[in-house]
Amino acid sequence: MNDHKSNFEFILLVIPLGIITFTGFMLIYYHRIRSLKLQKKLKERFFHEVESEKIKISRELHDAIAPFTLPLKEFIVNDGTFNSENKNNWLQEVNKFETYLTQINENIFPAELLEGDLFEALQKLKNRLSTASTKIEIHSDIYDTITKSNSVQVYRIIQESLINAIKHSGTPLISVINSQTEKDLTCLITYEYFPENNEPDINKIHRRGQKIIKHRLELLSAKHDIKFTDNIKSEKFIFKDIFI
Amino acid sequence: MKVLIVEDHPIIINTLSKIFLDIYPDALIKSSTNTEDAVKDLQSNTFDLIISDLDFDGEKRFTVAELAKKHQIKCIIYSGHYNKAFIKKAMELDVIGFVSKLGNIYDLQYALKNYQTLRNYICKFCESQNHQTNNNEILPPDITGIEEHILDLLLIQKPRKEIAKGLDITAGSLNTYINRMTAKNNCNLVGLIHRYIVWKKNK
Repeated sequence: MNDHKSNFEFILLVIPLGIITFTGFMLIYYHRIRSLKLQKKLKERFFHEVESEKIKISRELHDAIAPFTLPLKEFIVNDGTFNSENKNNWLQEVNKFETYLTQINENIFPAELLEGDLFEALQKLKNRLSTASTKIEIHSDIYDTITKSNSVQVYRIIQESLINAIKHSGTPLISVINSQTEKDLTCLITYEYFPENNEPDINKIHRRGQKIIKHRLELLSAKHDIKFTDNIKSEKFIFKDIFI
Repeated sequence: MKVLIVEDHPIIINTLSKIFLDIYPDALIKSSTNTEDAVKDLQSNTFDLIISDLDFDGEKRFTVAELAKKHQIKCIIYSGHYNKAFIKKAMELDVIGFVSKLGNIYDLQYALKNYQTLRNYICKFCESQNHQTNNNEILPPDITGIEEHILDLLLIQKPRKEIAKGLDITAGSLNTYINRMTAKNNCNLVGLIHRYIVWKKNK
């Protein structure tokens, strides 16, 4: 009789305790999920605001170039003070100035991305980043389109990755291959890399640029795979379900 | 002759007017600093030529060019943007010319001077900028069957030691193969891998 009673009391104690524990776990889980969703939303909003600000700055800069240079060019061409040789020299100087400002402007925000033309923007990025010592080859085999906002994220990831490669590897050539498999985009960046002590810090994300790549990749739920073998480093980005 | 200039910067309107009047001193020039005013002008007047910037305040970039096409008025786009997509769209709207504000002023003068006979004119600056962005034609790599196999293994980042072991050759021989491939194709290993991937995709 006593045994039955103690068993009953035990069950009476265990059931509420179980319910409380289960509810506690569920609450923690729910809050965790909610906070992750919130974090993602905040990140999305943050990057959206950053890019909107960049668009504004870029537009201001873009709009400021021609109103200054066109009257100047007109003056050089039509004013009698310049002889023909001087005219061409001065026009060349003005063109250099325009090119310089345009490049700054395009680094801030390429106009192609306003129309969601990611691969055109990448080709122009290649022209801007290529130097006498580092050449970039980009090949894109794409037949679908990507939304404007996702194009910007993908562009920034590749831009950051190329800048890092140029800055830290000293490679003479960087190969970028963009390919589409159904709705997924794969971007493969390959280059030679000779790290100090032959110990590449390929997975460290302490650098600001790497952190930005990480956050943007999280936003797109993209995969990033880095391999380093026999002084060839390759970075593979896989953007799932990114094509419209 | 009557000309409409659609441009949000008064300085550019003044300069364009000056350039145009130098060529056609009798021209009557009207200007609008936004698309809305330009639309009103186009509804109440007739013009022989429209010189228009792209509209970046509204969602539609080509409102004026579209109206010009509707009213069968010759239109030149004069913009700081020179993207392929914009030029293509402009040409679809039958604009007679696309001239960049960042290009040579002689190209602008040429377009204005010859507007009556101009068709699908793209200034040299726009052409050069967009020529650079095309996918470069890539030569297929000059490789043999075994070299193709080696490249496949290098592509999956297999260490050279393992590749050599798998092919039953020494690491030195493998390096000789790789050096021979790169020398034959006149590029480094990354360049060869790039060409190989592109070639394989196109195969």
